[in-house]
Amino acid sequence: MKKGRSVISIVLIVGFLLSMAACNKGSSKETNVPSTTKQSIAVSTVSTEPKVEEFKLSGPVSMIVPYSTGGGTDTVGRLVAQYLTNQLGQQINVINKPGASGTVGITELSHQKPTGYNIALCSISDLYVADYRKTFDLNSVDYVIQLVQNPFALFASPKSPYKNIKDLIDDVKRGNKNVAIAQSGTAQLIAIGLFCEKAGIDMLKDVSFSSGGESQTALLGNHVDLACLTPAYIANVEAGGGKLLGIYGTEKNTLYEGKPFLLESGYAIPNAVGTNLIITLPKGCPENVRSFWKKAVENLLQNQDFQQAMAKAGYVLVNLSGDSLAQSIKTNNSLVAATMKQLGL
Amino acid sequence: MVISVLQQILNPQMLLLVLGGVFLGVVLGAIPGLSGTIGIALLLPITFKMQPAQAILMLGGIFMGGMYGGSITAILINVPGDLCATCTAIEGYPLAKKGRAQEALYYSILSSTLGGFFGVAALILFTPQLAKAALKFGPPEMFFCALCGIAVVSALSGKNRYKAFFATAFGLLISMVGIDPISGVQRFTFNNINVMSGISVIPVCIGMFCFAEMFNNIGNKVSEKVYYAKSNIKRVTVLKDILRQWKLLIKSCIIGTFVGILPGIGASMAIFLAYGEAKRCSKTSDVVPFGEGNVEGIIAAESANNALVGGTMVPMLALGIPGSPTAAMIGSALTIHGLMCGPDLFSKSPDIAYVFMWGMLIAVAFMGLLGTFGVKYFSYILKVKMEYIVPVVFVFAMFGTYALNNSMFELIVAIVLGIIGAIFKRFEVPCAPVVIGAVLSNMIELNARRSITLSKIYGKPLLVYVFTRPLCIGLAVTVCVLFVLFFSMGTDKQKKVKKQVEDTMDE
Repeated sequence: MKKGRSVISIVLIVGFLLSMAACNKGSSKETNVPSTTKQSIAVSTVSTEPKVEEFKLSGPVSMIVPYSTGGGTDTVGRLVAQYLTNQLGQQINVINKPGASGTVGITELSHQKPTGYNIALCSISDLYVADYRKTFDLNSVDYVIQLVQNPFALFASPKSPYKNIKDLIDDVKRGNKNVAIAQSGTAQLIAIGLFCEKAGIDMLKDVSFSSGGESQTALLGNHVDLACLTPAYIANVEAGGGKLLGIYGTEKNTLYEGKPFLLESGYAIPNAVGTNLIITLPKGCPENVRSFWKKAVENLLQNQDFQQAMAKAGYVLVNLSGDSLAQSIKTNNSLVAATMKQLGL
Repeated sequence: MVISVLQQILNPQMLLLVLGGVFLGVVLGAIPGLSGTIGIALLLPITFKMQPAQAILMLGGIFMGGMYGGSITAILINVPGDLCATCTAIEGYPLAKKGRAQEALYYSILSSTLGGFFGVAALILFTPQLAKAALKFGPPEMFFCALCGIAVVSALSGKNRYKAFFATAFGLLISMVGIDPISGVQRFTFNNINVMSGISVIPVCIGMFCFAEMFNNIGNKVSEKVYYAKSNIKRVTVLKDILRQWKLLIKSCIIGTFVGILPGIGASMAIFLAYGEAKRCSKTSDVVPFGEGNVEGIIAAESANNALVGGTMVPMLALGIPGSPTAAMIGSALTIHGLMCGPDLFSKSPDIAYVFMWGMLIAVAFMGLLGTFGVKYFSYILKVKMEYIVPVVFVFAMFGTYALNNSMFELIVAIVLGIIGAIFKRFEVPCAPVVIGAVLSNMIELNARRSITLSKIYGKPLLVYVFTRPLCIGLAVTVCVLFVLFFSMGTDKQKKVKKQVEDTMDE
């Protein structure tokens, strides 16, 4: 009996240790970096320029997605992870770390070691909001390359009288104050604010919902008149009898061919807020690591299958890095901060 | 198209995947701390390499199996595998203590199978109508639905109603912690970034049920062997008994399906409502009080929780709106294959939608077979001593709490709540109302505030705005009736008990 008990105890302890190890595989304290990846900067004795070794992956990578499984950003993250795994020949593991509108996950990334084996996919619009509210420091991580820039869009409920954006603006200018718009986040509230400012109308009265799905339900059930959602909802909203009033953006993109854009009516609003997804690294990564990931994502963006998959899922691809990305972040952050101040958020 | 759909479903590879999914769901649902949801989250990457129909059907199988799996450990060791098996634990564990574990397990699997068939049949036959009905529920209506949930607490209060209210209030308080989603104000966050995201329901549930029960059992040297009794109960007998109570069965299935179609209401609400209704209408509760092993409670809870699987998929397929986080993950699996859930799916790839709906019937059948013939093996758990069960449950519960959101903070919350739950159990404060409070808190507050905002926007006084909506009037009346019925239920019993005590004293 005693022997049997000790065998069972050993099995349990081993099982416990194995499960803890499995947990640690994706944990923030990166302990599984192979020693062969220690980068050395070889200085040639002949030329005066330092020759930097190319960074090569030789183990799995963890990609933090700071939103829950099943959401929009998570879907993009999983698509990116799947294609990058095939492209780079190493497993890219998605680790969901939701919380505080995307800041918990990115804050965790900012505390990790810059080994090149931990990246994140952040949605920077939410980080602008957190930076304004001083719950997050925008400069605490390194933004390498933006690959998605999805605009927001405005929709009208099935029973509302608005057939296009002009109808809405005219109605509000005539003095109709009983217009409710559904939103599911501060980013969308800012987008609504930017539109109202451009159109010269008073800020629309908003109702806050917990997710795009809830906003869509309220819209299609005619509990609200308008909703600010991502274009991924176009097909379902139109099938449910709702109307697309206009898509944000300073240029038309071919993904939404034939759909109304706000800029057509003269309201070209930059996508300072929207689904702006950026591959992010912890601060302090060596230059070869940064250029490795930049090149990897650039190659990914050239992959036709990836382009098709993202188009089907409803995401607009961009390729923004280096100085132009830094400038875009600075401009958009100021715009968001100014709008938040104006709206009293 | 019917032939092509049948060909796809009856393909051996597809059947194997569904069977695998259901088996995995049952196992994960049974392990305390884990659930079908975690299984789906962890297996999502594997589905990328599959065909879309295969992927979605396997995940659906895990979902269905997981709903049943929780009841196994609920009955055998009083640790519900997930929140949806709470009511099964309340009735099933006392039965197990009486040596009728196998009987309880049979009631559970057969009710689950019948409920599952009902829910999937509703999904197949009535998706468009149910989806339209779901859209009629706006913020005021959801507020009243959430209040119905509070009314049910009275039904779950066990012996002392005031302790149940205290537990509900504690649950409401836990859910208040975090950043208020509407105004951005921080509540009890102590400037800690982890606390700002609030305390989600899963750590509360695992803490209050798994950790609390295990903390209470540390040092429990009583061998559980005494509970394992070889039972001669026949499956057919149990099935006949369930079918004899067909009114209860149909009512529970309807509650499960209908509450399941309402996005965001929380699957657990359907089960508590069905259980509460069974308790209220029961004619056998004098003979076998609820909470001491009344099988009607198991029938109601288990049929409701599998009926709601079909219900949650209705808004997902019809409108593209996930009814629960689990449905959202299944939808995400489709999106990754380039298919958008919603009317688009029915117009562009109808065969996938129909393969899924009809394939779920096969999943229910597999679950029924696995469960029914597995009862004998499940009940062997009772032969294991508690001193071995406790550390195993601890490990899995810790893993399960961490696995979904990769958060050490949630694990700490679960452990702390486990200690609090253990203290509650010692003082006979019921733990289920804590979880109900935590689940309902957001729904009640956010929908009330949305209703107030909407009434202001539309320039109507709040009561006028709410009570000029016919559905609201109906729901408000239902809430009042439920409160009165559930409260008087407790009072009647207390009067009876008092009278009995007085009678015996007179003698």
